[in-house]
Amino acid sequence: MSTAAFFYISVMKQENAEIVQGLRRRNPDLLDQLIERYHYRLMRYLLHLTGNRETAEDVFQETWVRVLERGHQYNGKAKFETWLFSVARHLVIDLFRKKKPASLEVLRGSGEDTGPIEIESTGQPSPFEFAVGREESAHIGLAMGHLNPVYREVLMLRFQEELSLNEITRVVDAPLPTVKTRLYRGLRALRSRVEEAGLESEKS
Amino acid sequence: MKRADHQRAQQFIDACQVEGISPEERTWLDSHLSACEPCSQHAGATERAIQAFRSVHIDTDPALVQATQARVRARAREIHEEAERMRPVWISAVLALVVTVASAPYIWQGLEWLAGKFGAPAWVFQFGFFWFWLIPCLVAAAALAGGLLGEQHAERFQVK
Repeated sequence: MSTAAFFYISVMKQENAEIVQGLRRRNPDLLDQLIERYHYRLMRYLLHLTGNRETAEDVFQETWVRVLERGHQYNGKAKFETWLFSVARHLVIDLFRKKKPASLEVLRGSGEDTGPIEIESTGQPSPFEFAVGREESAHIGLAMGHLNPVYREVLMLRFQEELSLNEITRVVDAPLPTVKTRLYRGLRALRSRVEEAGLESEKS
Repeated sequence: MKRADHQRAQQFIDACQVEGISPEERTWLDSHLSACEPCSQHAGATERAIQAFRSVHIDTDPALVQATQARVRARAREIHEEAERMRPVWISAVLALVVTVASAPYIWQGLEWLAGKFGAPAWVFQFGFFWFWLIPCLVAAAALAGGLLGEQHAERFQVK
């Protein structure tokens, strides 16, 4: 192992240990720092997962309250964000269970991915598109918004969060083969969506 | 080139992004891509798609962060106050248990002596001893239940 890698791992362990201690003591200052540090990534994850800004914002707040209440469950062995996303994901599942039981299957690890199921299929542009920064080209947002949320979730964890496959299995609570299947299918769907979007933007 | 080679190359292109490929597979893929235009385009399209996905930026509301921090702090205060409120109850429960256990042999002997003195049957002092054990437990349970009900009441009216 190189010195840099060793140093990085030591720093990460130290940081995790501090988070574990702070969460056990329910230290509000630490919580403030964590909210500040992870807000963008958590919000991005929730937006990918729910496809709806209002829902994402509600779950965002609930997630941090849950982190405060159940912080003692984080043992510091995994990255904090892995645990954070897992907490957020469970809250989204609970929310969908209350709102729309059918859509829950989308996020469950047990079911095989037989085809795309949209959480919101109103025919209107997805709320996800409006959440994407205005400076980004609209067609990319459109392409992302039409991806199945279950694919969008793993693609986001892999290519934006750059989590390892094992870390993704922990977040989505699904076995490794399921995660791989979702990633391969998601990548295929993403490629064709981006190509279509590219062609459409060229036409217009 | 065989059709199976193109399929293999396209599988490797995806596998590179998802789980990685071995150095031998990498060498084979590179040599295939240098000679195959459609597969090379496929690799380019995959790379572009991932880049596009990575480039997506999400707008976040700073007010949301502040509101969340305020809500978390308020909840932390509530939890702390609740723990403070419950502390005397827990201390009393533990003390009651310790005193009950420590005094049990003396109470047993005392009740036995009383029963003998007044000629009461054994079940009378055993019944008395049973209540001696039960009453502190009932009191502690009532106090804890009262505390938990208070907690639920506080949660119902917590500031969102």
